[in-house]
Amino acid sequence: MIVVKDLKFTYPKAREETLKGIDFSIKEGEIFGFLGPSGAGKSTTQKILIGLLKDYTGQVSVMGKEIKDWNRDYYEEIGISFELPNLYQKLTALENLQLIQSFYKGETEKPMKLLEMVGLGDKGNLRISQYSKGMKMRLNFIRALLHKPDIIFLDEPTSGLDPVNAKNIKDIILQQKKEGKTIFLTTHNMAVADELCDRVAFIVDGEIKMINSPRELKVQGGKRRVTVEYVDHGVMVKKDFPLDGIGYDPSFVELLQQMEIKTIHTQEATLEDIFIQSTGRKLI
Amino acid sequence: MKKIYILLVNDLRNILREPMLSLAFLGPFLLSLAMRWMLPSVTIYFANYVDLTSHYPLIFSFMLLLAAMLTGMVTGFLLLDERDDQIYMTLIVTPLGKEGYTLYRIIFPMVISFFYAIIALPIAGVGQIPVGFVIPIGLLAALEAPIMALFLACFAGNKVEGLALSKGFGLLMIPPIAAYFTDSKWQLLAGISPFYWPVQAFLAAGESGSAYWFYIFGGILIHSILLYGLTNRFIKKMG
Repeated sequence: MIVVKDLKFTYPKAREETLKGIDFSIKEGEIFGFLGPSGAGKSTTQKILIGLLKDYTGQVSVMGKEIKDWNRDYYEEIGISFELPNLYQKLTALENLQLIQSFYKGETEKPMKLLEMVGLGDKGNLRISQYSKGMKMRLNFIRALLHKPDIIFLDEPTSGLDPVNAKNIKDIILQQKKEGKTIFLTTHNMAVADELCDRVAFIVDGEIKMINSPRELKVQGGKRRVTVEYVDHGVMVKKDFPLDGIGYDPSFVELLQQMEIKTIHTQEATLEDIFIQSTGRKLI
Repeated sequence: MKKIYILLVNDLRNILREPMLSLAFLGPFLLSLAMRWMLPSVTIYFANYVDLTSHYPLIFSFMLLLAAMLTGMVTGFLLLDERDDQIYMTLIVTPLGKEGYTLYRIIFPMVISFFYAIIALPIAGVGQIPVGFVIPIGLLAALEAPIMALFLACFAGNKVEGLALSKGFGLLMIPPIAAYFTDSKWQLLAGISPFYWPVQAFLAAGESGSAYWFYIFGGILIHSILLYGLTNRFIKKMG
């Protein structure tokens, strides 16, 4: 669906390249996470992919066509939700959606249906200036789905949302994937990336340091050990066992049989750990 | 067509829901009515000092300019709103695109301003200028509006600066007034102000000769150059 080869980009008047030759490809129906600290080149990559920056070198093809060769019809195919909600403050939610809806030639969703999907069904006639930040974020998110695009670009879709609404947005994203949509997710939030993405790319200083599935990364980056927490004579004790051949490890089996076990955890790394290990940077 | 209609309705909503913009938007209309009802009394009041009737063409030409400026200012403020809330980003990633958005933002104030230019004179009670002369002047005045709008969008950091710049833009009204009271070829220097051209065209409208068309075409040239430069700058600024 999306193929990027040796993509380089330098902003006018900038001394250094912002993107230093990155490569990745995204399959149809995949959720691809693009993770990195601020200033790493995430937004620049997204701007190139959505056709806003055209002075790049390398290859960026979407649906088999180079971005530079697409005309405005490209926007019938892709939906974009930016990090900050960009909405007319003086218009109501419905008016905002109807305005954007009018620009598309193809089939569109009913604005009311989308509002109901994110729990704003009864707030459609409120002006945006009366919306809370979380409500704006939800509206911003559904705006990207209005014209039923095949590719959806989401920038921090759950930022500023309470856990219930964040879960709802994540469920909608997964539902879109089920319907065959391809999703490009830019985020700082490792937990969100871990939950949603089929694969993630780590980008730092304009270079991709690693691309893999979150599961694979966590297993590779973790220690093959199991930590058991149990109570021994009223005291909480923690003990590590090697994961290989654990079923035949008498001390482990004995512990399980004789002690009051509190927790058992394999020592997989978190995505955040892997990010720090592989890039030497924190996600700020 | 549907797109333009919806954009227009959207703009009207944004304007009418903010008192300052509503007032500025209706300003040209109110100004024309004020001219109709108050100018004769003001003329009589000052009759002992100055014969205002001899300056009516100048006064009415400035009424047209003010209409264009107010329309441009309203559009400029819509643009600043769209920039402050990053709404233009949403608009340019739809099939409207950067080009469609920019074009709409240029044409909207032009149409409104042209419409005002055509109706303002009859409302104000000026009947003696033939329609054939009013339309080209209306077009010239219409070009002023997007220049004002883009000028604000390119150079104002926020709406407060926008307000200050609108007043600053008003200083460009001085050269055509100075030219009006100067009887020398040097008055052409005032042509660096875009306002000079429609005012001079208006003043020449009643005279015989080619002066009228000189000012119309000169004005179109100067306005087109300004509009082209500002449009490029505006598109670049969108990133």
